[in-house]
Amino acid sequence: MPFVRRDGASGGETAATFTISGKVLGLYPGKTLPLTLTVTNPNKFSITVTSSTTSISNASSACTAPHLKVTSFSGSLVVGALNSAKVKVNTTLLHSAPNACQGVEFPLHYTGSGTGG
Amino acid sequence: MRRQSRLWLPVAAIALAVPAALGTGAVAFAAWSASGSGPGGAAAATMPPGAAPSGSGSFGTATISWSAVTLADGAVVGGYKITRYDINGTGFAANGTCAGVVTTTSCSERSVPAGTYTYTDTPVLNTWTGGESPQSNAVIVH
Repeated sequence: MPFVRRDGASGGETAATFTISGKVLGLYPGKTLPLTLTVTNPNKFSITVTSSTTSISNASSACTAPHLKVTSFSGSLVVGALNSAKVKVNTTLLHSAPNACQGVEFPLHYTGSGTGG
Repeated sequence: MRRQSRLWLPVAAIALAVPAALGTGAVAFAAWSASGSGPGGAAAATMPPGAAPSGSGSFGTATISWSAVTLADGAVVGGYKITRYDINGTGFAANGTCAGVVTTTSCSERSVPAGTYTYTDTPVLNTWTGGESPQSNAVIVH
C-alpha cells in the first residue's frame, strides 16, 4: 500500500533522507568530551530521528580506531522542515591511546534512522 | 433538519473520492522511514612542552623548580620527568624526589657527583609525552 507524503509526492518507495555532521576537538588520554551532532533536514516536512551510530576509522597506522569510543544516540529528536537540530553524544580517548595519537584526527562517519511525515 | 442532512452528502463524497484519486488504497499523511549519514571527526590535543626550570646546588644535592604547564583546555598534565645533563651533554634520569614522574613542580636530587649540570623537565600525561623544556641555568654541585 503506497504512502503519500505531506509534500504531496508519492512516497511509497522513497525514504526521507537527512545529513549528520559534527566534530570534537581537544581529546587526550582518559578525557571524555561531548560531541554535538547537527542533524539537517532538507525536506519540506519534519522528521524524527530515533537513533544514530558512529563508525570510527584509524587516525593513523599508529593511532588506531579502538582507542576512541563514541556513544550512540537513541531517543526522539524532532527536526523541522528545512531546519536542523542538535543532539549530543560522548567521545572518550582511552587511557591506552599512544603518544602517536597526539594532534591526530579520527575520521568519523555517522548514520542515523528515524521517521518522517 | 432535512437541509442539514443534505450538506453531509457532498462532504462524505469528497472524503471517499480523494483517496481514490490518489491511487488504489492510498493512505494520506502516513509516516515513513528516514535515514541519514554524514562525515565528522574527533581531533586529539597535543601536549605542551615543559617550562624551563631553575635550579641551585649545594654539597651533593641539587634542587630545581619549574612552572606547571597545561593543555589547551587548561587541563594540568599528569607530571614531569626530570633529566640532568652534565657538561658533556650526557643526560641522566634524576634521582631523589626527582625520580620517575614528579607530580609537583619542584624536587631535589641527592648524592649528586660534584660538577656542573643543567636540568630539563618533560611533561607527561598517561601514555603521552610533551616536549622537553629548555635547559635550566647551570647548577653547581660541590
